[in-house]
Amino acid sequence: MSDFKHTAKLNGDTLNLVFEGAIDEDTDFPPVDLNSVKKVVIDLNGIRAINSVGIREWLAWIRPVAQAATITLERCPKSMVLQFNMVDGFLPPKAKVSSFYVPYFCEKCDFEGSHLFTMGKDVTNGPNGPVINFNAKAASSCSDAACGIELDVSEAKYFQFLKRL
Amino acid sequence: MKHSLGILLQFIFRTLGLGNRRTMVANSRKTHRLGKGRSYLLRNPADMPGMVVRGLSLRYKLMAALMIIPLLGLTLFLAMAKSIFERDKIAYVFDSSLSVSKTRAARVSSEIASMISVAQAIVLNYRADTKNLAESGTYFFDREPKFEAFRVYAWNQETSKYDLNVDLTKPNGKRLLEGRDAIIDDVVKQAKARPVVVRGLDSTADRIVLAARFGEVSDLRHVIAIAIFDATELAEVFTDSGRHVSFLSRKDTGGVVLGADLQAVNWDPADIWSTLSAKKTPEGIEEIMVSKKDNFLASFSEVGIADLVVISMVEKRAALAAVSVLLRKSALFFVLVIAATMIIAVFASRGMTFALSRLSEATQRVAEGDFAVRVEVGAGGEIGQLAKSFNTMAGEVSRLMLETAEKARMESELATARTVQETLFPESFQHLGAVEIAGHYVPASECGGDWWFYCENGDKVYIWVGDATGHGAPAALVTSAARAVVSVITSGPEMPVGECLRIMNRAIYDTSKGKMMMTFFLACIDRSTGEVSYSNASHEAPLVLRARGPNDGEAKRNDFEPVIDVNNPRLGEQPDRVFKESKLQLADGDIIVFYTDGVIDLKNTEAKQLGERRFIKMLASGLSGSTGLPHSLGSIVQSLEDFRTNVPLDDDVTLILCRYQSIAVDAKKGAS
Repeated sequence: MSDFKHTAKLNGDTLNLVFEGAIDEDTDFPPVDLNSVKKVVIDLNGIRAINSVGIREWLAWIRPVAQAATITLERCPKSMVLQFNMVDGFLPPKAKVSSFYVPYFCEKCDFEGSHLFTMGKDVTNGPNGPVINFNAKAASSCSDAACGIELDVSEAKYFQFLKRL
Repeated sequence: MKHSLGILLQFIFRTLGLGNRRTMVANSRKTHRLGKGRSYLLRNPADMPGMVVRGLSLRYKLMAALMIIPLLGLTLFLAMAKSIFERDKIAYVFDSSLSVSKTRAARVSSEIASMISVAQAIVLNYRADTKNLAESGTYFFDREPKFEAFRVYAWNQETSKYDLNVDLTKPNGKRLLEGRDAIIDDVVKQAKARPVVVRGLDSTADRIVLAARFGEVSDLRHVIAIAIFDATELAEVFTDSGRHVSFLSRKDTGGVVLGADLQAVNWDPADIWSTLSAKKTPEGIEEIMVSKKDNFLASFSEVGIADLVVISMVEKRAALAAVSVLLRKSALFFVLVIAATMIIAVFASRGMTFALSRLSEATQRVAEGDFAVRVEVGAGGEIGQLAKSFNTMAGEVSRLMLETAEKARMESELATARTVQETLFPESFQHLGAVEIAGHYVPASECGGDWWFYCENGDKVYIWVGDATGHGAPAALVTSAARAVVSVITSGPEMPVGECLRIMNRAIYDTSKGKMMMTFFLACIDRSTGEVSYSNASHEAPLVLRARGPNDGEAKRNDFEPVIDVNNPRLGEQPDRVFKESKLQLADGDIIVFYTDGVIDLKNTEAKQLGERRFIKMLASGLSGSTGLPHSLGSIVQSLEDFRTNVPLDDDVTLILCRYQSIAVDAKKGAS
């Protein structure tokens, strides 16, 4: 039984959704009135996990929504970012990601955590593609000068989706 | 008594099944069989051939309980009532007996006082000088009808004896005095010591000798008057006494002075007084046992004149006759109550246990494997509810048995499917010329949704890795379809990898109608050049580890290059898709790591995911050194198992290592 929960708040033609729990075969996504809603903002911070059947359900739900409205995804956790990169169409072509989490770790400090990266602030456009300010975030994680904090993901894979934004 | 009570209680407990319990256990070794769908009601115990009843049945236990409990209660009540009634009756008899004694003592006292008064009136006419009575004295004697003889004795100083100075008799008096000189002499002697002495007269039941001393002994003029008077009237007081036996007795000897006819009794009045006088009180009560059978309730009251006492006795058995009658009537009533209880117990126990018997029989049938049996629910109540619950339980057991059988059948089929699916996979280790392959696959359940394969076509080696949606039998069916398509594709001429995936996509879509999908990665390695053409259908990007020299040490995380140049939709999402492809160049010793997301989703006992970082670290450690690919794979798989520590898999796990080693280098190695 899925522990997926959602809350919806309609503000004019903008629908604000908050998703929590795991996306799997039992997930029921909220219906969206595609005639009146022009913009959908989805807060994904509470998403704990997604499995292969959950991917299928997500795709089936988001495709028609993305065709009728502008989608903005906020506070995307690692589990969702991994799918952005791996599953074609998981992040719809016109969808925007306003912020996402980047996992860090340090074996010296026994630290494992995430930092929220905001588009336009922590990620900017450069001449050769997106510029990601890793070090400033890493420095904020630990006050120990000897801290060996680093990205807990493959940089090439994890930020691949930014090239499409 | 205690022993008997113990035996009785033991019997009751055994009868009620409270002690020495014997459990009714169905024979668990009997083979259970499924019901045939028949449903019938049990009405007759004869339907149960071979049924063994162990211990006393509940019905008889109930009957025994319904009879024994009131029997014990009534018996206890009777014993208590008897004891209370007896004590109350004895107290009443004692009270009334003492009242009788006191009343009669008062009457005796009054009568004797009256006689003394008459005697005093006569003595007052005695003249010491003439030693004779005046005429008026004789007159008083003649006028007192009860007096039959009257004598006056005066003290003679010279002889130190009493002289008979006056001797008055009536006609009957002379006869009464004949031959009784000794008694008279004895009374006179005692009168010297005590002012009044009273004695019965031998051989008469109603004559009394009264001796009264007038004047102190120290006074030489004192006289002693002896009167024999008719006590018939007084004797009647002692004869009209109902159950009471009363008599006037002397305190000094216990001898009877006056009273009931005691000739027929088997006890000595002297012994009675001997017992009663021990109380040393003017009046009292006492239970006296004169023999083993005869007990008497006795009371006494002193008269207060002379040394007389009135004693009343009642035979205890006679006094408690009413209690005996009550007991007999109560016993009869109890017998009637017990008989009525027995009749009620027979019907009540039958009514209560009939439904239980049917339930017991039905339970026995279930124990023998007949789950189609049902019992009649009846009127309701606890038994009806129990019957309803039994029917529900039997139905549930029947259903569960069918489900269990169905589950066993499905498990058997799944085991067969797993065996069949295993044939879809190639040998785990293979050396195909310049390409060395080592693969590992573990399904999360009986069948898996991961599938990998390799094959040769001309100078090309194809490596196929896929992950169907979900896992289990449905996903396994998709992999089966994929394997069939691959077989067809590779049986023809060489084909671009994008085209291969396009065909597979169509086949999977048509098979699952878009409901099942599959991520897929297809790599085609040219054995002569090391060029790899590949296409990815949303599968985990493989990692490439470039060949490392002997002094390069263990690979770092960044040494693993993800193959991410191209990506496509999953197979089966849409029927007609074009799958882009890209190329990659391998050098001698380069390794490609293919895997499914089940690897990085592995969880340990703390529910922490393995993740990409730890996985790459395991790869780096396993691929370090110059060991063979199978050994490296074994080392990595062991690391994965160590991390998982037997935590059940959430998803299938597939890991494939592929090393490119050109034939020229191989040949050189062989030559050296």
